[in-house]
Amino acid sequence: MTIQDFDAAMTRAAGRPRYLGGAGAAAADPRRLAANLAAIDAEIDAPAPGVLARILSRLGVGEGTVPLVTATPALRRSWIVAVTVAVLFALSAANSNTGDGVDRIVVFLTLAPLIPLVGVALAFGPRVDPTHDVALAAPIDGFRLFLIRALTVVGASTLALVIVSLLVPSGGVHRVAWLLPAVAATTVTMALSTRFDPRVAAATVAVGWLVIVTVAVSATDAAATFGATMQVLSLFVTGGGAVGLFRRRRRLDVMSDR
Amino acid sequence: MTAPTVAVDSIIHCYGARPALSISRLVFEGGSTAVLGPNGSGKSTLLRLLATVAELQEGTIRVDGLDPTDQLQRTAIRRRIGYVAQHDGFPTRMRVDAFCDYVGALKEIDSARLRRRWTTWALDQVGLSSVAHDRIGSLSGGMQRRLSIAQALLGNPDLLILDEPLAGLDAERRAEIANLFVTLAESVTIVCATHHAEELATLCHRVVVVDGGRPVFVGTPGSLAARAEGRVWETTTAVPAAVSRAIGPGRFRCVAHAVPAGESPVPPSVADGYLAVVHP
Repeated sequence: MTIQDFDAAMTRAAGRPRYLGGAGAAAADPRRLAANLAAIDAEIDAPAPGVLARILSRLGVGEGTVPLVTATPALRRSWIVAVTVAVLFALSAANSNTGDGVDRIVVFLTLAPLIPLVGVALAFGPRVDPTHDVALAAPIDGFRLFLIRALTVVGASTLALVIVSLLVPSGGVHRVAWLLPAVAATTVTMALSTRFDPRVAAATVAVGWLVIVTVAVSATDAAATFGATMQVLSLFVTGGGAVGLFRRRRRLDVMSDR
Repeated sequence: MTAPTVAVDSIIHCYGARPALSISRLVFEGGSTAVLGPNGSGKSTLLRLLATVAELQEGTIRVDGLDPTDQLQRTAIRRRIGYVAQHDGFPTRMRVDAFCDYVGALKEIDSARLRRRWTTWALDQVGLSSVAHDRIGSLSGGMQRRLSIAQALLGNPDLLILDEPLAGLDAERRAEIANLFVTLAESVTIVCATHHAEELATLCHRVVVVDGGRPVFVGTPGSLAARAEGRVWETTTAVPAAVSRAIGPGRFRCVAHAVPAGESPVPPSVADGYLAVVHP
C-alpha cells in the first residue's frame, strides 16, 4: 500500500482524472487538494499514541503490528476482567489454605495455568470477536493475527501471574512451577482452536488439566506432582501443541462457519 | 488495476442439513450489481462466499481467475476486497479513528501515517469526520453503518461487497451513500445486497434476484421492471389477490398476473419487477 494507491482512491472519489490538463499544464484536482489538506489536519489533530503503543514502538514493534496488539484489550476487555477474577481467586485460595506451605501452593499451581487459557478463549473467534468477519475478509494472515492476540493476552496474564507468584506466602521454587504447564496448556488450546471454537478448546484443556492434577495429587505429594516429571512432560506437550498449531494454521484463515 | 470479474459456478452451500444457496452460474463483471431477495433467500450467504468469509463447500468462485480455496490466491483476493457485513460488529469502546487504524493494519497498510490518511479520507466519504475521535459506542446505528462502509473503503479495494449498506440510514445519508456508490461503481466492481430496490438497485448496472437460494432473475434494472409490464396498477384499496403495497394515504400499488378489468396499467418500477419475479 503506497501513497500512489491513496492518490488513486482520491481520483476515484472525484470521479474524474486527477489532473485536469490543458496546454501541457497539469492543474491539481480541487478534491485532491482538499484531501491533502484534510490529511494535514489529520496529522495535526491525531491523538497522541497511547502508553502501550509508545512502549511497543520503542521496543521496535512495527507500525503495522502496533494497532493489532493495542486493539486486543479494547476488543476483549472482558478477558481482563476474567483474568483479574481468576488471579484473585487463585491468590485467595492459596492464602486461605490451612495446610503446610507446599499444600497451599498446590491450589495456586493448579489454577495458574488455566488463567492464560481464559485470555486465549476470549481473544479470537467468530463468537467473541465483533470484528471477526472484517478481519477474515482482510488480507492479514489469520495465523499471525491469532498469534499476536494470543501472545498479547498470554503475556499480560503471565505478567500478572508472576506478580501473584511473588505474593504467594510460601512454596519456594515451586512458586513458578506453573509456568511450563501454562505454556503447554496454552499451546494445546491454540492448536485445538484451529479445529474447535477457542472457548470449547480452552474448556476441554482446562478440564483435562484439572483431572490430571487431581489424579496426580491424590497419588503423590505436591512436590512430586509439579516436579521434574511434570515440567518435562509440559515441554513435550508444548512441542506437540506447537507442531499441531503450525500444521493446521491455515484453518485460522477460514474459521467462520463453525 | 481494472475492476475484477467474479465468476460463480455450481455453488451449493448448506447450513447443517438446510440448503441455503444453489447457483449454477453467475458472473459479476465490473460495475455494480444489486442482489435482491426476500429475507432468508441466500443473499448474505452469497456475499459472504464472495468475500471469502464463508468457506466454499461445493462449486467454484474465481475473482479474476484467482481461487479462494488456495491460501495464497485467497490472500490476493482479500487484498482487493472491501466488505460490509450484514450486521455491524464493533468494539464499542474503541474510538472511530482507532478502529479504522486497526482495520487499516488488518489490510496490511503498515505505515501509521498512511493509515491516518486513509482514515481521514474514508470517514470524510461517509460524513463521519466530525466524530473521528468519539467512541464507537456513542454513535447512532446509522453512524455505525456508515463506519462499516468507511472501513470497507480503506486500502483502495476494487471489489466492494456490501451487505445492506443503506440499512438504518436516514434519507439524506442514503442519498449520500448512493451518490458515493455510483461514483465508485465507475472504477470498481460492487456487489450489493439490498432491500432498497428503488433507491439502490435502480442505480446499479445489473440486478440479481435470489429466491429460495437460487437466482431467479439476472438482468438490468430496466429489464427487471419490464417483467411487471402490464401487471401493475394503482387503486384505493389493497387487493388480496395481488401483491399490494401502500404508496400514500388511501393509495395502493398492486402487482398481479394481469391488471383487472376496469383498472389501468401504470408504468412498472424496479420494485414492481422484483415483486413480479418473486411472486410469479
